[in-house]
Amino acid sequence: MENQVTPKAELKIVRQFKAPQPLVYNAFASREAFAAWWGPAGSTLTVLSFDFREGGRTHYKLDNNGLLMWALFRYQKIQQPDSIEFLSSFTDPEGNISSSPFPIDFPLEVHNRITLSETNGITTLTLHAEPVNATPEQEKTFADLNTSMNQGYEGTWGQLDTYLAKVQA
Amino acid sequence: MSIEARRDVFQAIADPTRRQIINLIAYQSMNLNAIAENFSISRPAVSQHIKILMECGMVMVRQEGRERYCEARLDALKEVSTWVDQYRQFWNTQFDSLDHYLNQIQNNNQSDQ
Repeated sequence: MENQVTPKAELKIVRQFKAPQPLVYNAFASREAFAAWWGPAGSTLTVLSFDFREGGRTHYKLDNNGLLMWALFRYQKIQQPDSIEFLSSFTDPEGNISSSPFPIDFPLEVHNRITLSETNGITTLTLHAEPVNATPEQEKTFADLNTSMNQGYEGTWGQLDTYLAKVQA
Repeated sequence: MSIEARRDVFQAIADPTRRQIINLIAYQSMNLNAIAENFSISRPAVSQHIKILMECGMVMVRQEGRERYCEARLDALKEVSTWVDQYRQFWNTQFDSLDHYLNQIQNNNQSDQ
């Protein structure tokens, strides 16, 4: 079509790192490594849960001078050490998906795909991100399913949060 | 879970048919039949997409005599670039931090040896 006015809401970033590919991969795959770099400078990161595997979830808190934010990764497809696909979203303290804390309209969930490749000790990282293509009907079904599935371990999440808050106090 | 059914611009452009509809009526308003002629899917299906576009604030329907014309509201698209810009900035900051981290641990490893 001639007059393309509709941008697809998607994002691509390519970055090169002077590090071997397994090391870059590990920065996402290992809890210790992830906790060492994730989170914008000036904010304090607390990894509340970390489960890097397909179907696993990582929940974290960011404290930016008292402004608290919670976010969640849900890993979908992992190909070690080449690619990682995950959904990211903001959450409430319990890990329930919530709308963005920013004053702009932000998609509830974003699909992120990170691919890695190494040449001569330089690792190229490509990030593709786009809002999740879900209709409200799908979201509702998903929400209903999750409510029934989560009821079992919602309590556990709460305890974990309480425990984590305590040991860090 | 507190996922609320939302209608927003992201929802509107998530679907390829809806993106095509917006492109089609971006510079000239069209009635439903004229729009539907451009698609192989059924007229009710096109109508459903337009309904969603209206709910997302992307399309306005204007009655003219017996015809209803669909008009694109391109202002709403600005929201998309706002989100993309914010998210790009977010990731670039993360990657700066990753770069710093990778340099640091490699230096540490070297000095250990």
